[in-house]
Amino acid sequence: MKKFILLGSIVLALTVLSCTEGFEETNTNPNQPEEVSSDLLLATVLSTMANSAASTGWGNGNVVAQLTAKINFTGFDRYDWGSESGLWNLHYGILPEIDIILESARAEETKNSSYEGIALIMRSYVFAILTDNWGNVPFTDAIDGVNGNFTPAYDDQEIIYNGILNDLETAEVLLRAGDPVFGGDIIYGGNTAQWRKFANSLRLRYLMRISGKRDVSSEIQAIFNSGVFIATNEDNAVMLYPATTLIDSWPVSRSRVGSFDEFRMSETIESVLKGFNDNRLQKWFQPTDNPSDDPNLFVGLPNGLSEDNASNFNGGASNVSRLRQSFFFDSPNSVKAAILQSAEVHFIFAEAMQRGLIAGDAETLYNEGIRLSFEYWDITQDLGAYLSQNGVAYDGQLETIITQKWLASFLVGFEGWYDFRRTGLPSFIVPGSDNVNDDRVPVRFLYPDSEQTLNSQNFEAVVSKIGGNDINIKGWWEQ
Amino acid sequence: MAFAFLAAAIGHSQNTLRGKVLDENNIPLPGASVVVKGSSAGVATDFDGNFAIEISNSDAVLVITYIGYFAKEVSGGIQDNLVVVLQPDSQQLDEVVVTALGIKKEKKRLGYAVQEVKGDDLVTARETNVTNSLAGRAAGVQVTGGSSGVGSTSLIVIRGEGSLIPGNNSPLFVVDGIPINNRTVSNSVEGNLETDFGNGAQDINPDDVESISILKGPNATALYGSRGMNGVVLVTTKTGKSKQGLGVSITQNMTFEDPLRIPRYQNQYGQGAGGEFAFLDGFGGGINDNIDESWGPLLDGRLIAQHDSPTTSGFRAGDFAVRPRNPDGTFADQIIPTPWEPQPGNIEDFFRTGTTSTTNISVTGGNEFGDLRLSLTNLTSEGILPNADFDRKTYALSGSYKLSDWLKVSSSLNYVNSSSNNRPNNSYGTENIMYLWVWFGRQINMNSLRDYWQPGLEGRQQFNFNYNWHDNPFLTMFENTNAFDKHRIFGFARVDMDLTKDLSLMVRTGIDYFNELRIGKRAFSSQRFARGQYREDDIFFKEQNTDFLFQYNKEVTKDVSLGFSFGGNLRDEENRYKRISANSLSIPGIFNFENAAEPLSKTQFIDGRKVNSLYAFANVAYKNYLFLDVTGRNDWSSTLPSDNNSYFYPSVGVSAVLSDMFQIGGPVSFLKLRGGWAVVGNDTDPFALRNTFSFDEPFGNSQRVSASNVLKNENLKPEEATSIEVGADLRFFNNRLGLDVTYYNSTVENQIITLPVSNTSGFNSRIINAGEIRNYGIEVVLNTVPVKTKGGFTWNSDVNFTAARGEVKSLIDGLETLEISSNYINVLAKVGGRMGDVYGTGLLTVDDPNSPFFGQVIHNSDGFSIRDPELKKLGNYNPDFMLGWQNTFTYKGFNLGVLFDWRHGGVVNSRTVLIGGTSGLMDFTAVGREEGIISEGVIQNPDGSFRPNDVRLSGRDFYWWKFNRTNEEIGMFDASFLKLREVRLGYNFPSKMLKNTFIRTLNLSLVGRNLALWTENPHFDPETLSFSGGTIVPGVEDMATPSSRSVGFNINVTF
Repeated sequence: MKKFILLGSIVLALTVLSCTEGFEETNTNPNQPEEVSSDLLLATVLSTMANSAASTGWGNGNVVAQLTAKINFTGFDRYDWGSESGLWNLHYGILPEIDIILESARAEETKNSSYEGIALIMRSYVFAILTDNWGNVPFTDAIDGVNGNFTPAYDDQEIIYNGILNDLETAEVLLRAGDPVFGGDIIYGGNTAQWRKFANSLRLRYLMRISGKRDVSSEIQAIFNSGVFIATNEDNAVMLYPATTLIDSWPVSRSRVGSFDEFRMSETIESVLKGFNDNRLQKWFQPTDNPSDDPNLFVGLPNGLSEDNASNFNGGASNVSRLRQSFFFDSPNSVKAAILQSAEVHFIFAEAMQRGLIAGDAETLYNEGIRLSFEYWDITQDLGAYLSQNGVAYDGQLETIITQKWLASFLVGFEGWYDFRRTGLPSFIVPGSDNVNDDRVPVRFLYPDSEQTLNSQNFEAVVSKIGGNDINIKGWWEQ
Repeated sequence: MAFAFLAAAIGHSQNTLRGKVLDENNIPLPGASVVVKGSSAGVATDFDGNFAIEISNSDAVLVITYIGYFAKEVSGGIQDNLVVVLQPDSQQLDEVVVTALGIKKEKKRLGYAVQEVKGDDLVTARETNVTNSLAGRAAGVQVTGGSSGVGSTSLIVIRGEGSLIPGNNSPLFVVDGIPINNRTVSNSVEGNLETDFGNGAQDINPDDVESISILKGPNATALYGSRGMNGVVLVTTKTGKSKQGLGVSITQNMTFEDPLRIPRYQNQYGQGAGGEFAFLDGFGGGINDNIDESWGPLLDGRLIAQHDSPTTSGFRAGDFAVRPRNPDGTFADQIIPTPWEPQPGNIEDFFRTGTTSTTNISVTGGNEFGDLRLSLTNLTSEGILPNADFDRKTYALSGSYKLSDWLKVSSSLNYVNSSSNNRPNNSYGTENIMYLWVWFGRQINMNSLRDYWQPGLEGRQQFNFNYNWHDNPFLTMFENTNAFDKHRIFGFARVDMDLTKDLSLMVRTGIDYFNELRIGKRAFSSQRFARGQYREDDIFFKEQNTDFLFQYNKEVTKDVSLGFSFGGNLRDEENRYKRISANSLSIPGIFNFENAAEPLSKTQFIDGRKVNSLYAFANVAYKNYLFLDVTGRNDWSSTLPSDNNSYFYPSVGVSAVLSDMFQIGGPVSFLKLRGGWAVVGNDTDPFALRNTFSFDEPFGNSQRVSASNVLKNENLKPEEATSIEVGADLRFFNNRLGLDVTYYNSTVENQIITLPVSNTSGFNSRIINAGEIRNYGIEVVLNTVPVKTKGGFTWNSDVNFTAARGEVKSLIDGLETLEISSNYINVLAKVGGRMGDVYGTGLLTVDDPNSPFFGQVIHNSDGFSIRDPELKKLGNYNPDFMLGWQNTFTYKGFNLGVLFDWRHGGVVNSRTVLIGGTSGLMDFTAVGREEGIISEGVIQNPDGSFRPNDVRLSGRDFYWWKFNRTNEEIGMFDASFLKLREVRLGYNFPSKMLKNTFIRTLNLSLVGRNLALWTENPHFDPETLSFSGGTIVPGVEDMATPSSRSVGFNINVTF
């Protein structure tokens, strides 16, 4: 009996022990791949970034540039600013995908200079937004968690700009080889020639950004001379919303009417568009709702009002123009997601010429920029008459150029705000009456709370270096 | 011959013997067992200690037993009107409790604290979720009821939070030796708000529970190895064993619920802004009719166009889609203004009286060979929210049979079908009904919204007071439903063998399996799904455990007895989840995937886990007063790296009954000291070792993937919790006073945590072994019998006291702070801080202690307070101490139970107060609207000095700014509360009265749960949970459905 029991227990124990064989299989994830091809990642990167450009343009981008104004939840419009951690997370969150494409495009067995170039372009674009929004941010040491660096140091904005400009230059060269793009390119459909134009145009944007700090004339001139830049609206870095599902539609069209309605025509843009008889007025906005109003009455709302003052302005919301509902809300794909348009490129050249950075006739490029913006927005307008008006006609003043560039930046990320910070133009952008920032337009967002807690040493170092985690501390290029 | 037989039969005819059972003080003992030895016949004494038993002859031997007393046999010419006096047995008083692996042990042998809750405490005044019934009943156990009505998750934490992973502190639930899944399977879906479909343990049917044994710490749970870290709730179900012969029991319970506490709203001003409002279309076409706040006109009965005002066309003003229009799109009819009046009861009007009906029928039977119990239970509940409900049908069968004198088989099978036609949504947003009451017009008559379609557009276009932001609340409840239907089976098959006189073997296999289908429907014109939605979540879970256990018990000498056991367990777990959603539909009212108007959105995963274990334990008893227990368990888990997947958990426990070792005497009737040391641990989730890519929804035709934002780890080690526990059990005055004190100290090291990292590293978090959390605390159980009279009146008072602390000892090198969760407020683990510390943002104050304005809020020159971006500590969500106080009064057939539950300390953030403060709905926002308000505090002068704030703001600007949701500090409230958790008044009908009926016992009880709440704030119940990304986050009231108060009755009849 005792033997039987001993044997029995040994058998049972061995049964338990021998059952660990299937462990490896049990713990292998059957749902998700450990390796993927670059096209699947590229679609993620491009859709995320283009959508973000249009969404931030729709929201805080237009508001801080006073292209629109808030009638409800007015905190941001009053400069009651926080960290915009959602944006921070989105941008740092997409960098790993970009780096994986880059790594794969550089690896011997999957070498592809086009994917490498595209990845470098997108990487530069993401870091430019990060540094333009927050100032000094982790760059050199960033996205290195795989190697154990979870607390990257912050780089000076100048270092970041050096890296971005260098990468864009490299990218343009890499794309010349024309290696095939096997998919995932939802912006240019694999056309590497277009990507070269995009690389150079982004470079132009960032060269102009730092033009107060550094002589960028020869680089801008070289690009101008090469002709490789976004010259027509067909070249635009623009994504169309497929609108097959909730996910791939213009997000505002899938939100509540109230969220759409929070944004109204600003008093600032009202006076400019009306003053110029600019038909973008009817394209972007609609007449007031009040049935007793003139059916063609457009009324803008001052920026930066308190909650109560905004609601009650001009007798309430029915007496203030909304954005055009049929275009921006009712349709899931009327709005295009633009990262960079040809109009902007022309205004950059016009400014470079106006400032004598490069040779050429600023007026020609300025006029072409206006024409391209009208074309982009599908505006029917007598261009000659428009261009001959006071305030529109090129008068050699930078503000004239920047005013048109400002209008053309409608829905394009924070471009209007960046130009305002760089040039102080258009000068008619003044903080709203109920602002809580001592009548200053803020120049950066706060670093997120997560950096305070998760990267505290580097956070404290950078805060003491720049002089505080404050929305009024200027970055390198605007100092 | 026939006559002789008849005569013999008559001669054997049974006689009725009557008697009375008394205790040593000659006080009647109700419920004592009286059995005829050698037969299955037995009865229990009534409340007067009386019994009547049939005996076949005068030689019969009666065995009288009562817990805590020596059994007594009475034989030899028993006389009628027998009086039996039982003597107390301080040793046997230590009742037998169920311990780890279901092994029953005398309580006095244990080196750790165990508390039991009896089934009776669960079924008389009942909770649908059995977890809720544990609140206040055991020291060291914190139960927090969920926030979306009947069927909600109830969070249970035993001895504090040892884990840095939120929601990962649930104890293991074990029913009859089989682990039962207690997870809350989240329903976090893009586009939808979350829905709480309840925690797994709510499938346990209270009617089938014999007792619940709570194993609180590692010392008690070491034999559960990697699953024992957070304690174990051991449920023992009823069997036929306790009854000899046939028994039939029928119970009917009926309760009525209403909201315990509803926020207080102002009733002076209606919807609008700047004191103005007029409805035109609910989209902003009228005066402020886009505004869903109550900063509008004084509710003085003036005539104002409103959403429910009639129009000259015969429609309601809010019927914008059907009212006649002019060619230019303006309305062709006129709204006829109606009186603008307060509706003080409008929110209350939305709620209804909930009802919960439970019917249980059980049949039991047994003899010396076996026993059987069959139980059927039907629970139907209608929630306090209209069209919210919960049903549960339970079938339970258990039985055992002795096949031979060495072989016994037993089995149990439970089938539970829980379902609901609609579970309300949680959290902040349009799908949660409670969200509407913080963005509402105080003038709205709730009845005006009951007819929620626009005429002629039924199924297509809702009718509402506002179309910019909101769904009609009745549409939300009746059309936008979240149904579920869950089928669960758990049970076991078991063989027990007596191999020798001293050695037995048990082999068992048990299963917990469920399949749950969740169906979400959204109607056309819903805010989030303009063209409707149809969604299915399909959840499959299976866990099988097969175990064996050899037990050897031997009395070595007269004084020394020895027990040795050896066993093993194979655990195999499988999860499957699939969600498919059609986010727009072609035809209204048809809810299936074929009606989808766009490509389906989908999510799918399967995972599994295997854990193998071997364990052994030994116990030595010396003279029945000194006991030593040693256990050891080794687990092998599939979730850990193959070279590091084995881990060992030892424990040692000692118990010494000093009152038996020494003659203590005096008032002391029992004194025991106990102590122990134990290690338990934890493995991790499946697939935590290697990174993978996840699929995103396609973008047009482009498939998309994303890199993992969690960095996984191939070098994980198992977690380890080391615990010591010491305690004393003292009883005085013949057990009239009992005091049980426990101190424990448990340290969890090498936690496997998903450590948040700066996302500038390319990851949001990484999985590592890190952190050391110390949990320590004191638990006191004080049982007293303050009054016990000869007349039969007894008052029992049982107090459970708990003071627990969790302390963050370390995280990882260089890391001082770890964010555990951030649902509005941040729960941070800081080295040196306490678990549950809550941080958030507030306002800048004068920080110069020499300033006369020290501590005052700083404002800008426009009179708006200035926000402080630095996170500051706002408190801790855990209570400082908890005290449960159960009183039981018995007199004759009556018994009255009163349970208080007191939690002192802790904070809670109320989103309802914060948002309702900005929107002009809360009662306090009525103040200062006419004249404006100067915010209390100072303004900083250009020279840096301060002056008292002198800028007057409009009421709306003041409250908007002050109760701004980023000013989390202002939403903090003291979470302390005292609840009258339970009152029950029962009456047992005397057996005399039932004598000539079939009825054996009849009990009628009036019951109430959560009858009263005392707490600082008048707006909400601080016992609440919030949900964030599938995780339960305590300390935040986030648009919580009010908890309910219930009253009702319970009838139990046995035959």
